[in-house]
Amino acid sequence: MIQAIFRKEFFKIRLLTLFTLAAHIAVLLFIYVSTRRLFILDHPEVVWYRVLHLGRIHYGLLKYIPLISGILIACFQFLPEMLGERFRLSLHLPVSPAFVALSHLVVGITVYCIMALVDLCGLGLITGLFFPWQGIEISLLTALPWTMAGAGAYLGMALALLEPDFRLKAVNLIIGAGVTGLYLQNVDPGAYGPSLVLLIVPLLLMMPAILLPVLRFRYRRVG
Amino acid sequence: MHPVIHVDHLCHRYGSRYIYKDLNFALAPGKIYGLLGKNGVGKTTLIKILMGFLRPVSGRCTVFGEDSHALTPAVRARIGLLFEGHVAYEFMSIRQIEKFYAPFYPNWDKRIYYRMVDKLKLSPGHLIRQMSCGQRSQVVLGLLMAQQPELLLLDDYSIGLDAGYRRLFLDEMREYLNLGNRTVFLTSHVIQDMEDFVDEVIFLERGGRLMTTSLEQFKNRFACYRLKVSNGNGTPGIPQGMKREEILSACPMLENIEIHQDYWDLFTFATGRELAGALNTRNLPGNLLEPVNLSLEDAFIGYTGRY
Repeated sequence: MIQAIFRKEFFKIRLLTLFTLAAHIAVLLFIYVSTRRLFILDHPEVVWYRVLHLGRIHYGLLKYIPLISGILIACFQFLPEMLGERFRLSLHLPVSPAFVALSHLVVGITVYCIMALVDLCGLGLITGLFFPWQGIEISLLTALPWTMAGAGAYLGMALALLEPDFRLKAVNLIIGAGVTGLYLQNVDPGAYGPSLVLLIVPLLLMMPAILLPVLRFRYRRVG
Repeated sequence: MHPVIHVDHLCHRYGSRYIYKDLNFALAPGKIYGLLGKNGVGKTTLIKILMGFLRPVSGRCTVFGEDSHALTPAVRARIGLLFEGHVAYEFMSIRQIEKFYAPFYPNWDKRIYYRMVDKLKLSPGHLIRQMSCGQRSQVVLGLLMAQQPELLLLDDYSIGLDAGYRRLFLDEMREYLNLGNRTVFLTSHVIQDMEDFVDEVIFLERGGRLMTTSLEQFKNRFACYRLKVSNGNGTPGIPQGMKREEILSACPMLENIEIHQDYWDLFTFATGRELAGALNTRNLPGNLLEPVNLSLEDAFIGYTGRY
């Protein structure tokens, strides 16, 4: 049964996944080219000084890409369900609504994690070509919160789209924006490092929270 | 025998507008019930409540003995539900949607689905979003039938279907019902389709007033009598300027009156003689009543009113 839901979700987001993945790879290629350009225009020691000591970020383009991907995945997954309230079809299936909701979430989160992993591996690889281990560590610690922002955006968008009440939709959007904003503060590279474990907590809390709008959608009281 | 659906003192409202205040009825197994009523009387709301998509303000609904707002997956597997507008996952193809539903239902029979869908002469890879409303209805009905549910709930199955697809829909349903012990509860605007199909009809009116009858009984007993309006030159008839309410209070057996420029149509379950007697007591010419032949649709509109 879970395979059937996975397959359905795959049909909805397969094209988006391909395009988004291509966009992520294109951005990584651009980052590679611009990093290489830094070393062509300046001496390596100058570039290293700027990046490792002054905290210059040469991969800033990657900051908002996960955010956009998270929002797009949520929209492609849940908008077709909410148009004409088609989600009722899945919620009438002879399985629990929690099972249906969490299966949908697993698909979205997995696809998003693949993209985040591509970003982080690509960034690590590119940085490793030009910088020592210290550079890789700083770049990953800087980009990790950005990928967490994308996960927050996905979950926030999912919460807002699945919620049947418009006022609560707005509240969920605000919560999603707030959590996402938490990971996108302009701070020194790697500054989030010590608090990354704590910063996962809001995301972990948002995952089961998806059950609230789904159950409200399933067992609505209008009166 | 336990009823398949039992509605007990159901009350529901949207804001301050009450849809039902005290709705009561029960559906026996193995019968076909048609829920009829004008737009806005709460037919879809009732289906939503029965399937647990809405919680009623008060009262109790049970389906196969379980509270409708807490149906277990086991009971949901026994119910085939058609959502208004033949809602389906339109991004899927004919084959994909069958594969999606199949694992959820233990009695799934894909031969039933493909027997129905093959009539469309479309390839299995054809996307549902590229189908007409009629074609989509056939796919959705095929999915419902392949489930082999004991209870079929069809919310406005006729919406968007031309006469041919409506006929096909009903023919498929008849074939399915021949398998026995199936209960169907359907709503529709097209009353002619109910003829020779449903066993009983439930007329739902604004405010939740309900009448359950067999269609045959309704057709035989519900009648229309026409009475001319007097032109003011002493010709007998309903005096000009007479209010509808005056006649309704004089003839409590009247269900509805439709007022036209030259005549009034009086609808009742009473006989012409009884109605004429009641009119005569108010000095109205009951002897001038002319019986009017009614089609089923005329009778339905006569009973529920035009607006």
